Amino acid sequence: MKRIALAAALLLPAATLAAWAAQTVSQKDKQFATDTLTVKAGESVTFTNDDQVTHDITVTGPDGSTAPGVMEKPGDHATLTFAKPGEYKVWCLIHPKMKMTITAQ
Amino acid sequence: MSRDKTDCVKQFRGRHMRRPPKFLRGLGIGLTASLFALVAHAAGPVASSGTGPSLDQLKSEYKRPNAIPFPHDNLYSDAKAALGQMLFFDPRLSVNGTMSCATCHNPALNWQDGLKVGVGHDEKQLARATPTILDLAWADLLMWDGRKNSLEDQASGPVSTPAEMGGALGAAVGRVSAVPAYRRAFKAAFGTDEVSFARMAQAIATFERTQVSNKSPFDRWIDGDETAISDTAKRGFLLFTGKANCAACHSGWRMTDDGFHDIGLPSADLGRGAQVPGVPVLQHAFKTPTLRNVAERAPYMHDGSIATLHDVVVHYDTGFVERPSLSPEMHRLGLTEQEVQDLVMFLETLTSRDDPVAVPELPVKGTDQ
Repeated sequence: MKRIALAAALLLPAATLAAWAAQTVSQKDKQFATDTLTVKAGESVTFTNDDQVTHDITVTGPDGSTAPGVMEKPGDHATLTFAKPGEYKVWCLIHPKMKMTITAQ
Repeated sequence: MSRDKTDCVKQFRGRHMRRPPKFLRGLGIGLTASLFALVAHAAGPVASSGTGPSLDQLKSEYKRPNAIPFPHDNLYSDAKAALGQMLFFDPRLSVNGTMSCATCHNPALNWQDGLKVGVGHDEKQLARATPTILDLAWADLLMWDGRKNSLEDQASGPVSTPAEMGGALGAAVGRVSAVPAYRRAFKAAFGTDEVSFARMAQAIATFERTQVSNKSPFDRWIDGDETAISDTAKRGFLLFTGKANCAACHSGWRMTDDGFHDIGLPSADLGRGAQVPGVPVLQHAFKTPTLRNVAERAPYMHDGSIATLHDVVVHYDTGFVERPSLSPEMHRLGLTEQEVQDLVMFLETLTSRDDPVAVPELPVKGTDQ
């Protein structure tokens, strides 16, 4: 799998995050809380690992490029900004069944 | 993989009106996993601690589903499954006519071969163990390294790989197409008698999806029969979902998260890491196998390197290699020998008596049979 920096989605690890995004998605029971989410282009989403296991968050953008994933231990959170309009695939590389789609409008 | 569950259930029920499967007695999957440490005394009562989920909550996570999911673009039919069964057992799919899918995925051996690693074309050893096909209708990515996206995709793998069945996909299609009875079977399954490998793969995948484990003593306990398993096994279940942390990966009724983890086997094989380079946690990671019928599926691990369930548990306790890619779920457990035995007793309750699978009568070229 090609893993390159994705300009459209900026991944900010929890340690550097001052504030949470308005929209949050919980990761629990090895699932995202929702299969789909629509945001405005440029809006951020905070993903919270409410599970008992470590997850990865990897994003494939509208142009097919994949951003480097971030690891989230239980209790961690990460914020992604979906800068450009389009459809983003979000999934966990450790648990590939765990996936969702975010549409930025 | 998109699936229309309504259509899938309908297809499934239609098929089984004549032969109700035992496993349908289960209910829906309840995936509400939230695992905490539980109290499990070596010889004491079976009860969860007051701080974690109740035993009933834990048990609810292992309820069996009530229907086989079939994908929208390859719905079930009796004709397709019957064709798939013939193809699965037909050695004409291999380049020299000596190997079928069932050569390695032997139904008498829980759809495996009992060997440390598989044996392919010209009796040469392969790099990894043969995984079971049991309960794969619910799987997502396939193969130890997840390089196949569906059972249809997977079906082409061994046939087209020189080291496995010889790598002659086109020749296999030609040999099947030359048999009139096969062409009739394709017409019954797909509407026309065109033979293509895409259709062969769809038929094989359909047959494979019908191979579902029956209820085991563990399932009967989950359903409320307290006499179905021993107290030792019940303590093993609490260890499995608690102190031993097995359920961090072996979750759900198939006892797998279909995920990829480095469990610290001393092997140079990168597994998933070779498919997804650059991700540290995926180096040396392999797909979590189902634990259904695990007591009858030795040897264990992707390389067949561990011979007994006892030694598997010991590996997870103290035997793993510590390296940067090691799964964050792996840590030294501090199990007592009694706890190891409790876990093994629990794992043995996952064995079901599955329906026998008949070897089909294969059509013969030239006789029009």
